[in-house]
Amino acid sequence: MTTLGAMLGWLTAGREASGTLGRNNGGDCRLRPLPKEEIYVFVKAIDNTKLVRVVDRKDWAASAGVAGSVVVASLLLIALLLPGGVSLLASHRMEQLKKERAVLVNELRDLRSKEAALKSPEKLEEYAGDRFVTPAATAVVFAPPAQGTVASLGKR
Amino acid sequence: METSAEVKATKRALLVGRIAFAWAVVIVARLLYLQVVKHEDFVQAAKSQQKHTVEIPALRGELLARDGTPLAISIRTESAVVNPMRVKDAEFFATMVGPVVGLDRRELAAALKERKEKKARGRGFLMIKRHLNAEERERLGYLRRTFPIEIMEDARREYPNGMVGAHVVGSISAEGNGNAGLEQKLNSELKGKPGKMVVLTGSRQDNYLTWVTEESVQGVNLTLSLDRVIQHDAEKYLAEAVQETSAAGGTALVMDPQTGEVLALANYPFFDPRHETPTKAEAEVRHKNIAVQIPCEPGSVMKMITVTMGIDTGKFTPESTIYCENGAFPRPKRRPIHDHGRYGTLDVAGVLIKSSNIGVAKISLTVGPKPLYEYLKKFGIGDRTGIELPAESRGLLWPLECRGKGPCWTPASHEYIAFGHEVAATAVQLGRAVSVIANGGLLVQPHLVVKKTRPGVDGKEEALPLPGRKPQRVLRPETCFTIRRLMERVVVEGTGRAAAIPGYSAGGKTGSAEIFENGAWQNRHNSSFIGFAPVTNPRVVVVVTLNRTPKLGGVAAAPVFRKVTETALRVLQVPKDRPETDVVVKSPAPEMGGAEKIKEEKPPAQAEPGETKEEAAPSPLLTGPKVPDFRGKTLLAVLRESAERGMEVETSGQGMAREQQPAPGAILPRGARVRVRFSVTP
Repeated sequence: MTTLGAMLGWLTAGREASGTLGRNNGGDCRLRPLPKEEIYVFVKAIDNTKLVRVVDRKDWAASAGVAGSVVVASLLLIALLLPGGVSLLASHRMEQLKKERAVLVNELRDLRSKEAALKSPEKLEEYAGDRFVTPAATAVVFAPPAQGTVASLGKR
Repeated sequence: METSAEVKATKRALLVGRIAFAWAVVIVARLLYLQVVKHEDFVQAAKSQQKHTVEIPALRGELLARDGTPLAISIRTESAVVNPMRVKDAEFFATMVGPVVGLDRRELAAALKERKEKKARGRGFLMIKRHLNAEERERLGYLRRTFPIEIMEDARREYPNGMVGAHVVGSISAEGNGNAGLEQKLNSELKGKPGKMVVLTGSRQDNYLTWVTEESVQGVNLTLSLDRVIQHDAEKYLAEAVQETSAAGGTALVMDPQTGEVLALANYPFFDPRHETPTKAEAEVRHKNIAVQIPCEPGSVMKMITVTMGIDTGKFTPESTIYCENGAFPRPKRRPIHDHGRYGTLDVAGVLIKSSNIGVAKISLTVGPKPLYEYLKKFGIGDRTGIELPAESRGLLWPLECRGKGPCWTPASHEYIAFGHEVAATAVQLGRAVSVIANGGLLVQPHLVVKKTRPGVDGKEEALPLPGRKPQRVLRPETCFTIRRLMERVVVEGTGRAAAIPGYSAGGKTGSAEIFENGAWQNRHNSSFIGFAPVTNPRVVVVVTLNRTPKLGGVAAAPVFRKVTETALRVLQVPKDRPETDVVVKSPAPEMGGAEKIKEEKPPAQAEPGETKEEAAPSPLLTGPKVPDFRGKTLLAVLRESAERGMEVETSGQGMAREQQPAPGAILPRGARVRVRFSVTP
């Protein structure tokens, strides 16, 4: 398997390589190169105590301008996309509500049908069994009309 | 100066750069091809995946009773279908899917294979299960990932009242089209029109935006004039009467005479509209609405029109006397017209009350054929009523004048039509004719639909206009009032006594037309009763017809009238117009229908075997003297005994008393007579 070091070596062939090449050219008594042996971490101490911070007003203005521009551009972008996004969400919600309404209307129809079946004259007779007897005309007494009523009985 | 190694490295770097460039060129070229050259194709493909045009199904309209209770209502359901051509292994499919929807796997597999073979003839569609329940729907949802099962929208038509009003409401076929009753007649209105909708779907095929391109037109909701309780009781009493009288079928109609609204329309035998695939017998019953489609000879019922004509033309009054030829009216070159009894002189009221054929024939002879024809037309005989039911018959009324080869009135027709021969009418036509008398002379249009509404998208209902049904005046009110009083007497003291209703006044007329088939009288009748109640301000008109029964109208049909009218008046909350203790006589006087008068007279006891029984068991409500047994006594003894008891006796014949009516032991109502027939031989 080609190592990263080997690939870089292939690209930069001819230049003096350090580390791995040196070790590879060594005698047989040396240990085989370990994986990632060629990667070194160099730590360099930096002394910042003598650094002096100088305020560059021009750069600050430029930075603020860029930041402002980015914010404005972002806001514009949001303003541009927001209505579409909101309407998309609203559409989803509307569709969901439409479906719910259709289901509820259907359930209502089903319930009305069941209610009508349970209250059908045939079913009522069945519930009542032998105790249900159609009253004879002589057994039916209609309530007297209210005072001042000219024709209250009947439907016309 | 660069070393050889650096040159080599530069070359290699350039090589990689060139490769990368070539790759970029290929990508850009491909992008150009896809986005520029193939732009339209891919736009179309995307649209076809994201944008669908779907049908908005129009739900079938509801049929509602007059109180708003649904008689027929559609519920949205889902059904599972499969394209058999896409099923690779029918056995495996049937094994997995069959148990889920409760189908036998062998049958399902066989059906799939059969449909696969039929595909060549364009039948690549198999309905696995209609109207899935929630559990089936869920389980099929999982199976859809593996099998090519489609779930499609469907609707189930429910009839919550079962068989009640089935002939009016009708039924629909598996394809959703009406095939009987109002469902058939008003199918186009009830069915509505499906619309179209564009749907945008997301990656999971869920709708995120829809818009309607063509609104669906929902089916019209129809509110009918039917009352569920009256309809139910009419069917119940009709069925009982058909069983009791050994009739082949029958019909009962309850109508509001003022408006023409049909409150109940029952036919026997019934059918169950819930059966989507009826048997052959059921299908036959389903399409046979006797009340509308099958006219029959009305018999004596027609005398109502003849007597009305006589009075309305001014040639007769209720008190005018007519000589009834003692029961046999010889006609030149024709068979004589007979009456049931040997009536001498009767007034016009008596002619109607006793149902004298000779009396009405003489009225018709006096007035003439043309006025009779005109009056029949005024009562709507021979014309369709326009009721919203399929295949309505116009009845049978030949034209007065002969034109061409078709049948027409003979010189003697008006004599026979006067008592219900050579003419036929449906129960609805008879109901309309009685309504003319009941409402004071207006010809109304019988109808079932009282309200039409179309449900809107927003849930509100839009009222739709109904056709104009303006009644037409055909008779003077005073004539109608007179006839109403005469018809009341038919119920009180005539042939329709079994129709008397406790607490209410009622008027009516019996009818019995004997059936003549295969060149012989069959001793079977189309027995009917038409009537109304209460007499002063009729709220209901009731027509009862029993087909092919050995019993006459006064015995067979009148009791049904009483029961049905009693229910209707109770439901409509009509106040009583008679004392509660009013006498009720359920035994009818012998009645002469149409056909039997022309042939030999039959002894009443034989014709009405059940009559004597009924009279022998007096009701506890009856008050009056008991009728003694006159049989075997001489005329003098009969007269003496009746005078002692304060009874009026009507005698006929000579010799010893052989038959009497009412039967011995019965209570004689006030004003009634005992009729005794004498003969020398027993």
